[in-house]
Amino acid sequence: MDWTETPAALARARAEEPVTFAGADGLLAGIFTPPASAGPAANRCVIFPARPRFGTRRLAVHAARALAAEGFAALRFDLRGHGESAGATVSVDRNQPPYGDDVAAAIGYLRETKFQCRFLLVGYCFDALSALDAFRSEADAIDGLFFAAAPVLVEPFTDLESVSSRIENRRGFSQRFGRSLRYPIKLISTVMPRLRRRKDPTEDARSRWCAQIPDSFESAFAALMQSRARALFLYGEDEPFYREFKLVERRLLADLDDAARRRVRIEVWPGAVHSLEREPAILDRVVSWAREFKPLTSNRSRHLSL
Amino acid sequence: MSNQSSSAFTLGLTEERRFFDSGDRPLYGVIRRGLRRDAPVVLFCNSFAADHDAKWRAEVIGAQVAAQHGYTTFSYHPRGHGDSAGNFADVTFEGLVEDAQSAACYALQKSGASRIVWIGIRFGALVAAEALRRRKDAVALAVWEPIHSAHAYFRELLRQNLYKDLALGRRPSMTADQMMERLGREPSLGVPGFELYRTFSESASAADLLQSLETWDGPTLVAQFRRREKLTRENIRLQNVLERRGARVTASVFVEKSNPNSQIPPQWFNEDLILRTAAWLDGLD
Repeated sequence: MDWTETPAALARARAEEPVTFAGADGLLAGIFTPPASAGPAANRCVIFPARPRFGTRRLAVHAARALAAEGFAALRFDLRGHGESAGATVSVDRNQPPYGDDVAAAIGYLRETKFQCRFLLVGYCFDALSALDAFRSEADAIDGLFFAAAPVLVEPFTDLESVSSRIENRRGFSQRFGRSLRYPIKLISTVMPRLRRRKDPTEDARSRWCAQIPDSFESAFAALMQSRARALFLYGEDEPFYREFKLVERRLLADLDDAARRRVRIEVWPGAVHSLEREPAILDRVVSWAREFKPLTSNRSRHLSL
Repeated sequence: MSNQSSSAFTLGLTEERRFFDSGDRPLYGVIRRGLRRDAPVVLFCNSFAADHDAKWRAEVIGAQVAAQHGYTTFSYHPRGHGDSAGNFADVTFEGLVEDAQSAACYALQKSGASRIVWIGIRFGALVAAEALRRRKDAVALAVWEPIHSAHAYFRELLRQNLYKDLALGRRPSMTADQMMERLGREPSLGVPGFELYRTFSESASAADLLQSLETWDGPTLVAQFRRREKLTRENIRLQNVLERRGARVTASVFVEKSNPNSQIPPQWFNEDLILRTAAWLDGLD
């Protein structure tokens, strides 16, 4: 909302085209921003699935126009049940299956109607989960994913701090256990409290449940990693969502080979990212991230003012 | 929160989404065509800033239902809002009224209607009232949880900062009056959800619903959605003033759990409110 509109962005606004396309629950509504014809083409279409497509601070509107001025095509659209799209209006939460089908429908529409072939997906919160989910069916067509501040566990885990610390404790326990083998008295003092703690199965079950990554996330993440796409995960260091994401780092990223790991970038900003106040900064980051996908021949346009 | 599917309202509905010009910029607009040829066009005038985002889904479904009742409707995003062009920081009250006037001209031209039913949502009630005061083609007015005074509204928005501080366990550093005073000196102040710019607050501070409606005596729907079950003092006063002038006023109360001045999720809509508005439209004949 606080973005300053440039003449180039205004020109792209004038070129925009409202579109509708078929989704699983009916028509989905969006705005297609064609790339500026002057200057080199980026040969990528950036898709912003959102609820609604403009959002409170119009992040996707400004980003779409700024990127279109630099040669990208862009589509921002309402996910089902939001804005002008058909579908039941439900409050989305972390246990709602993501709307990856809607994003895949957008890709199909853009491919057939706007002749776009390569895609970048940008999502924030639940919309990021929906963008990631699209990898399950359209991974080959997607070059990049910008994934900002989304929950990744099956339920908010208020005691996540304690789970993290227990994971750390377990690591510490292994080290202490190894050392204590040399000193039998220490062995007893190390192991006994541990055994006592394990007597509470309810607590362990709860922490396992709370720290569970949904299947939908795991399978979409696997599809992402099997693709050639690059992904940027953005979180704020002070927010609970980041503490959740640390589990993804440990469980899903740790096993990746070097080549796959190099395609994943994790950015952690000070403070919170999941806040309206940070949206202008996220917008800047979306634009700079998308520029990384421009063909090398069009480097010159990177210096264009937005 | 309703769970109604919007596709239930769109069966057989023709929707035309286009950009149209207001001043020197394109605004997003959508016509939903109803089957009644003699009916006035129903023009929605939505709220301001984050409230516009929060009430958009309600407007969309409201327009779809009205179209199902035979009325051609027009919805638009004013400058600096939604999909329209323009900087939010440059928005003024006069600019919003100009956009409403442009939307009215465009809606009449595209629908073939000669009369307008205005539906003003929250702050949009002030804009719709001011726009219809300057025209001669308005036949009815509905206001959804109207803002009666822009000045009081801004003060209420700033007061939200105090509540936010208290909720976070912080002692508020300023009173609402001090924040109002500060807004008069600084370019903008943050309120929950957006920046409130001095340019806008100064341009709109004199906006007053009763004043804009000083000559209005057409059919009016006052729809209140709040936690309270009775009409507010301001809505009663509006009803009384209009009725004394001979206007046919329908006042409806819809009890909502949340405070309309605080952030409401963007998918919010109230099905009763929408159906009541459609029934009121049907009763205008």
